[in-house]
Amino acid sequence: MSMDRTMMRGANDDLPQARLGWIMAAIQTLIYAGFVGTFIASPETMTRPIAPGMGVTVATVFGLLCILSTMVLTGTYVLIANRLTAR
Amino acid sequence: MPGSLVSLLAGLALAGAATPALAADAAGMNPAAVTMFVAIVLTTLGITWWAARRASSADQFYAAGGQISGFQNGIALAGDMISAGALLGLAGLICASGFDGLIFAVGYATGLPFVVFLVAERLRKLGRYTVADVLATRLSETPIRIFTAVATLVIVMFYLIAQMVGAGQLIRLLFGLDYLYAQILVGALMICYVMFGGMVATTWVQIVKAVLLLSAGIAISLLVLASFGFNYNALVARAIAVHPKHEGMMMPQVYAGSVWQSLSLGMTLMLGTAGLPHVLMRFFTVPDARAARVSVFWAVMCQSGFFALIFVIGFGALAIVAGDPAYLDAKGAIRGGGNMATVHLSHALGGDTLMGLVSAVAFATILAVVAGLTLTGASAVSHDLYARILGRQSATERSEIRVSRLATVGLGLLSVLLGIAFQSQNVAYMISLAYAVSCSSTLPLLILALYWGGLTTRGAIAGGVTGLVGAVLLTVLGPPVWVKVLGNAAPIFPLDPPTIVTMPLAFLTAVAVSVMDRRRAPAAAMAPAVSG
Repeated sequence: MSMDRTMMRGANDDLPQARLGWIMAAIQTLIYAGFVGTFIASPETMTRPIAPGMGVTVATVFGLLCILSTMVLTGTYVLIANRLTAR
Repeated sequence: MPGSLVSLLAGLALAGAATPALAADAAGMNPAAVTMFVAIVLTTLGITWWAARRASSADQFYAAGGQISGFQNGIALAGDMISAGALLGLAGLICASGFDGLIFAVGYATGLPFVVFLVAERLRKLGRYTVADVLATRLSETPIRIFTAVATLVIVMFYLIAQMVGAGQLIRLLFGLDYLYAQILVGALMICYVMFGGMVATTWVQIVKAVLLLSAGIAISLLVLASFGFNYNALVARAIAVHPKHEGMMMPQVYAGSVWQSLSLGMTLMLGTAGLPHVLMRFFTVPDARAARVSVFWAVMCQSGFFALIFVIGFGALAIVAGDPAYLDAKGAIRGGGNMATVHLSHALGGDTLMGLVSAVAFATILAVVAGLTLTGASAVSHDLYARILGRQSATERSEIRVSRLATVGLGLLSVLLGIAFQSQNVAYMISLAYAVSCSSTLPLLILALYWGGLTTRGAIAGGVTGLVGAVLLTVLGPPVWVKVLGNAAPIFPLDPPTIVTMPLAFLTAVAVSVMDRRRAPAAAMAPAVSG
């Protein structure tokens, strides 16, 4: 744990956007792990239709949101990091 | 020299144009598709010729002189990410085993953001052209360069095989050419691109192709949706009805095995990108960190947008192509191999013209990715092995470029041979093998070198070699080679990909050996900390 903290501090020293990078990576990992994890833990949840009688499943929507999240997170990161380094 | 270059290129272009045209007549193929195809191949050759006149120095050849704009570089980076595996393989995978294709689409999409958040900025601060340059700033140069060059070559080869298989099936389907000749044609064209154009040509070919590919993807998606009255649910419902497993196809096969298997694949797809040498190389082709950031922004928009389109194209291929006997062979499988589902889909939607366009774009995609990969592999040989180690005294910029061109020819020949050996595999799946090697060799070293001051040269080599050898060995003993290529009944090692074993193993070995190393000889092993 203490090593983690040293790393974080070291990282923040030379790159102001490093902490932001860690946060974004953590969010991205959580979202993707949620997708993979739900499939492992409860496949029946993921293969269930989003509404009775429909073909589109929970996993289809979850997967699309997962892909969308890559765009949103990267966009946010680039915007903030460019502002941080412009100062 | 320029004169002979031009005539050689013209000769190759003629050969490339004439052979398929003849074969097309023989096979009775549609002229619209062939015309489109030849036009696009000639255009990319033209770009290569134009770029060749500019690529004179080593800096130009490897990194395009660091003068490609952020937006251009981003599109080219997206081009690297959306390879034949994405366009042809994913839709084919959905036709064959349902939701599997989407598991790969989602996984591949999450890779690039991860590189952006944790790797790209630090990497740029340290390196010049290759990952080895980065590691060599911290560690003893010779062993690190040999190791990264070997790892790069292994990853590039796995990735190349996937592209060659896709290209071979495409040419065979389109022109009725024998698979063997198709392989040789692709090999010759790819050598031509890289030898004469270098990074400038590769980048421009990637840009042209990425734009064409995205446009084609959007067009196909709109046409698919239009044929279902813009009702996505109707499309999915039809796909479920067509697939032999019906609702069962919404459960991915790749997750049907053990938990470890599922976790291993999940990790591989997300983390693999961060160790891919040809992707990391793209962070050195722009002038500054800000341009690098702008370029990853556009790259993620394009690649993720494209992976989202696969949700339409893949189910579309299943619903329209897999249910139509015209596109199936006698056994009920997709004609020309599973990787051809997207091509058939474009024929079903827009006739010969759209099919020609999509095939040409797919082929240009393959050539561009192949050129980028070959360039990366060739620079590992010429820049890391030759210029920095073997010929440290005698190497000049001129001789370095010559070695890199020789390496290009060697890689081209090797990939033709391997393309023949792996000809019946799905290309999206093949790429996951390259990712597994990347996760277990270059990635652990890169992360440790960027974030942990305690890494020693001996630790890095021990960890890297363990991961690399482990990943290759377990891939050969596992389902991908032992069962699917060598034809044995059961694999010796069950997990495919082996990442969940080999990646932690590489990290642990690197850390353990580094710690022991520092205890034994603290002064000698002290590495200078990463500083801005």
